[in-house]
This record gives sequence, C-alpha cells and structure tokens, in this order.
Amino acid sequence: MNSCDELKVSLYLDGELDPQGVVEVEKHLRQCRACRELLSTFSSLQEQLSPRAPVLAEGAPHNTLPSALLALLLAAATGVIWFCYRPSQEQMAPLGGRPNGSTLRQTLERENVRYQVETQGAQLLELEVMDRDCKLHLRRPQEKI
Amino acid sequence: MSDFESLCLPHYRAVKKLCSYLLGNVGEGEDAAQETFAKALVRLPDLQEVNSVRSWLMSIAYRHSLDRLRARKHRNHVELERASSVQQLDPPHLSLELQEVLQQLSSQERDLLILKHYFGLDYSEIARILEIPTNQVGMKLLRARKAVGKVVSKGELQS
Repeated sequence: MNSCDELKVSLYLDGELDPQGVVEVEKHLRQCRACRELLSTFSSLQEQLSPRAPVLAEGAPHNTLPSALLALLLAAATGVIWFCYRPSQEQMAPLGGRPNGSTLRQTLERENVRYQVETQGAQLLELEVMDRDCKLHLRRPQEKI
Repeated sequence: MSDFESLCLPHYRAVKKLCSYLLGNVGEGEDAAQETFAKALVRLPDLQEVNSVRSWLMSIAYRHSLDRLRARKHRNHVELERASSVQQLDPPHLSLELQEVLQQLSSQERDLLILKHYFGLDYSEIARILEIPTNQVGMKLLRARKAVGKVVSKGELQS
C-alpha cells in the first residue's frame, strides 16, 4: 500500500484485512500522517459509540445444531420424553426453571404446524405444538407461594 | 434449561438493545425482543443452515422491528420515520453533537455504525442482518464514518 487508501484504513480498524494487508497498512501508517489522522478520527468515533459494558455475550457460541428435527425436539422436550398423542389427548410435562418479567403469548403457524408459545423474556413458559397427527403441550411449573 | 434457552439467553440483552434502538423506546423494544424469541423458536429448524446464533437472532429482531415500524406507520397514517434512537443504547461518551449528526445519516448508515461499534459485529454478521452483500459493508461503513468524521475531526465533539 504505497498510496493512501481510505478503505484499507477503515478495514484495518475493523480487523477485516488479511495478515499481508495488515502489514502493508501498518507500514504506510508509519509514513503517512494524513492516514494516521484518519485512523485516529475513525477510532474516536468508535470509542464514542462503544457501550459501557460489552453487549454481546462473552464466549457465546456460534453454534451449528444437529438435525433440524432433533433441534426442535430438544427445544421442546428439555429432558422430558417426547410423547405424541391423538388430538383428543394431551400431556402436561414440567420444563423447570424460574420465570421473570412480563409474559407474551402468541400463536404462530409454519408449514402446517401450529405453535402456541408463551414466553417471558427469552424463557419459554409454555409450548403447544400441533399438527394433524400429534399434539404436545409443555408447561413450566408454577412457583409455589 | 432447554437447549433453545441455553442457545438464545446469552443473546437476549443484545436483541433487546437492538429492538429498543430501532423502535425508539425501551418498552416497545422489550415487546419486540420477546416476539423475536417466539419467532426464533418456531424457526429453529432453519438454524441448521446458519453458523451464528447471534446474527440469526439479530436478523430476526431487525426485520421484526422494521415490521412493527411499518405497522405503526399504517396505524398513524404518517410517513415512515425511522425512530431509531441512539439514546436507547446509552453509550457513555456520546455527545449531543454526535447524536444530532447520527440522526442526519440515512437509516442504513446509522445502523451500520451502531452494529459495528456498539454491538461489535463483524462484516459477515452485519451483512446478514442488513441483508446486503458482505463486500459492500466496508465501503458503506467508510462513507458513514466520513460523513460523521467531518464533525469529529473539527473538534466540535466533546467527550
């Protein structure tokens, strides 16, 4: 990078350059005051927009999941054996855990499967999944007063 | 705790922050965040094709928040005004001057800066959330930075 390249300076700040690109930019920055000032301006903006504490979860996984069906079963069952019943029957099974905050209940449909979901924040309180052959109803146990 | 919760709970705060920023208030942001997780539960089979739970959830949150904004516009019969409010994010060094400059940017330019600097996302995650090609993120970010940087470099901002 012999001549000034604002895009490369911006990419450098964001950590989006390959190792060779980093070497080239750093070499140029040592020689170019204008690009050093540009980097300083961009860095100042970054600092002013940064949060008080990291917003994203530390070490939160970038997960891939097993098969789609297994993922849905795991999400709903939570260690409880999955039962499928005719629509005339239903099974109540505890999910465990503690609710907090306000609740939201929604009915959603996807690919001929109906989901009734009650959540509190990101916690699942109640889940009912129905298709023409099977109905599953899971509910988190109520807290004792 | 269910596997869905163990995957998604670590990202709840970020999702709520994003919704609050896009919708311009915390209360509506919390509602939108809950709705996001309900949608995510239903779309869980799609996650097999995505290698980032975080950007997957934030993509759903972003589109859902914009849907709520469109519904608000329809109810109020007013032009769609992006209510995105940097104040909802509460970065400690944000001056009034910078807030004003950010509000003058286009919605996409403002979102780019926030997703990069406040949420710390990388280009591929930003591209997924904003539904733009990854190779365009760098140039668009540069333009946004230069638009704001004119104010920063003149020393008009005070931390």
